[in-house]
Amino acid sequence: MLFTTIDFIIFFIMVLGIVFAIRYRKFQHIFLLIASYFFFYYSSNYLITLLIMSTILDFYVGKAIWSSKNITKKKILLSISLAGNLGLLGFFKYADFAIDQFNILGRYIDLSSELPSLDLILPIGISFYTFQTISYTVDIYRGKLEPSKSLREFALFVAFFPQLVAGPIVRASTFLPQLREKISNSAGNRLRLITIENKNLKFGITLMAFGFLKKMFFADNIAPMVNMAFDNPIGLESFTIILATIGFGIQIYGDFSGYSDIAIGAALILGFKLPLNFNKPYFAISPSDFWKRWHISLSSWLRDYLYIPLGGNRKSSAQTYCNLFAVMILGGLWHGAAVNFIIWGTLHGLYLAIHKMLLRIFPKISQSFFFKTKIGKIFSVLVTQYFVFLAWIPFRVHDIEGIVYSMNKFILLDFATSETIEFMAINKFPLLLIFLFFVLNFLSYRNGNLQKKISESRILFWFLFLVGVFSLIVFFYDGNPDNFIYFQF
Amino acid sequence: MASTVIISITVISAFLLSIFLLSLFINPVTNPVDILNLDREENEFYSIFNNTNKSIFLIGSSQIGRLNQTYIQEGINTDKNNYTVFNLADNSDTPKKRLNSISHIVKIKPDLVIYGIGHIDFADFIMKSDLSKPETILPDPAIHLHKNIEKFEKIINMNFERWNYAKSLTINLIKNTIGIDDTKGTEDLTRENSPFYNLRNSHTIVLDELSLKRSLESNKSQLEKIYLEHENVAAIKEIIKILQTNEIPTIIISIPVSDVMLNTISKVDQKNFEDILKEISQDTDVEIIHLHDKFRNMSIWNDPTHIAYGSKSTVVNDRVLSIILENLE
Repeated sequence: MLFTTIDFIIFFIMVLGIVFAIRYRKFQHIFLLIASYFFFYYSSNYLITLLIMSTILDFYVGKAIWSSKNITKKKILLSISLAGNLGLLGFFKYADFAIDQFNILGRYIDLSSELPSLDLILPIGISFYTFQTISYTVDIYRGKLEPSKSLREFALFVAFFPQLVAGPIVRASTFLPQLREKISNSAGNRLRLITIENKNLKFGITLMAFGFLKKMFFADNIAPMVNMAFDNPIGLESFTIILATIGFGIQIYGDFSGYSDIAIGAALILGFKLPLNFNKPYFAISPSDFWKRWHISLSSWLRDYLYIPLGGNRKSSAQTYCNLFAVMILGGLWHGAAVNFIIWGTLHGLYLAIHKMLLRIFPKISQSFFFKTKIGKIFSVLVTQYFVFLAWIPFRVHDIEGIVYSMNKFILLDFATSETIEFMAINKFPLLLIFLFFVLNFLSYRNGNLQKKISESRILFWFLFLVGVFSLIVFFYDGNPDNFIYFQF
Repeated sequence: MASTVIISITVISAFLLSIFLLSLFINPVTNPVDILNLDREENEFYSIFNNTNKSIFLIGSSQIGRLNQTYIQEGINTDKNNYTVFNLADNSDTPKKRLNSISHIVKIKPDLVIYGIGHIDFADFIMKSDLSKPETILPDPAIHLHKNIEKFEKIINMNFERWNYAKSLTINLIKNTIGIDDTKGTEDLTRENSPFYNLRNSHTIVLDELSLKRSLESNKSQLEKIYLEHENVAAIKEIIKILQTNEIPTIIISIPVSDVMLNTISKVDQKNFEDILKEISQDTDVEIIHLHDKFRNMSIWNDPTHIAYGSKSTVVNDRVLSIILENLE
């Protein structure tokens, strides 16, 4: 169920109405779980069984890890959980990719036959909920988290509909205490578990409005320009490639952070605070700063459950660089089983490693006067974003020839303009949106938490804000919106 | 802090106000096609049509738009003949759509009509994003919801389909307000006697096989099935009958497509297409000239379903020219 469809609006209004009406907290709890399963079933039909299987496996394994005193047994149980979740993810997401690579290798060494492709359907949200359940069992294994006492409670954590299909990746340590707090705050069984608070309702709606605006007004309207260039980039001029790359950077940000805003807003209305997933990433002043601002729930997951267990930066420099590479390549692969995502991950691994290396060789460079001035900061932002946007090319262009060509044109400018002028003439509206996006993003950067400020404004101003947002969305609705990009991951 | 009721009322009012503004803009009694100037353009052309020579009309979708009517005209016109060839192809034209404007052609009464039909005229398409959805082995609530929404639309007698034009209408309004006329882009090629189909520089490029495959993969939709009961089968028969009744000689050709495209069409669908052509021919007593697979392996393709415009695809124009000449004799 896409957030931007009438289906979701009807679903969400019904959920809110019923949550508001139900006075028995146990029913509220069960109702939210049923609603979340329905949400998943609506898009994925019988594949909901995978979600339920993953839930049951990790609930019981988590309990067994907690109650076991034997470290070997704990390790075996953790391995079962990891094998179950990663096996599920690996099979559905990477089996066909592995078969393809095997067949390519087979052609090189003249194997007479090829393995048939399995043509598997990627279950929606599998990359998100398997990471959530993995973090649950690992945290229990590390002694950082008590296992959930009821299957119902755990199932709601895994399936909670706002963040189920495209994140943010929520940790049990963030979600379960909120659920328990609501229970402990309730004086008796008859009190409501979930109350819709006015403050949360207004802020949640404001966040959702921003999310819809980012996705439906910005991302969906910039997408045609990006597709025009990157569906077949061979032969395009440097400036056309650069414009399309900037467009794609905004499209994917609008798309994904828009989804996150809607998810966080919807959860907040129901009284749950989900972690921030984007924090003005295009104002990052270094590669490591970028990853503290972009898809924060994924990057922090990779840091806590992959980078640090591998040794993080506690070992030799060479080992640290290898760890960074490994984590970012796997982060790239998480986005999809394709070579282009590996290239994207490798590039970011390279950026992080070089940045770390520079800081080691010149430890005082970041403390220098220049980088503390406005010009120094602008310089840092521009250099960082140049490399970030360069890496968006392999994220968007799927074939190697197109990637090499586009990156080459992005780096080595040809200064040709005749086709770029035509390209700009055709894409006036997307270009206007790109300009508008940067202006709004800058204002938001300067003014702090813009959503919060708007949600706290007087009701008349808030009404005008909503009319403006809704009007932009409906007036620029094209009837055939693209799926959220992150649904496919 | 405002109460829940006030917040809810504010959100609903804001939403309704924006919808109200949009509905004022998309006048429910006006056909959006009119607002977008699509029909108007066509009406204007036919109303001022004035050709003292004999006329030959090429009609069909963008695939016919790639034929070079000037080249064909030069091939026809000798000392004996004096014809003007018009390429009246239109983007996304289908027999059903053409049926609405066939009366214009009948009024002009050309000396010959060449109508190109292809696989896509008789096919249903599926969005590739839908293919990633699992097959429904359990009841699909989305289907039921949308059926009920359709019922609701009927009850309140509103067709929300027109709202899909919102973006185009808004952009058109902005352009008109600030006086931008970009109906002809800077990349357009100009040619005579082809009023509806904008030919672009990029349409002259011939792609290699790999690029054709890439182009096919980048399409958002793909052909799902071709079937005999498709609404366009009846529409094309109706068009032919109207032309025959008005004694306008008509030739039907099946539009050439590339090998890359033909390979994606299943044998069942290929057979269905052949059967459709046979049925149309039998029912209307018109010969259908099969061109759809005659040029499949040649290096003439601008994309999997369109030939490149210009000298690189002369072979196709020559074939159409010879068909016309045979008929004029």
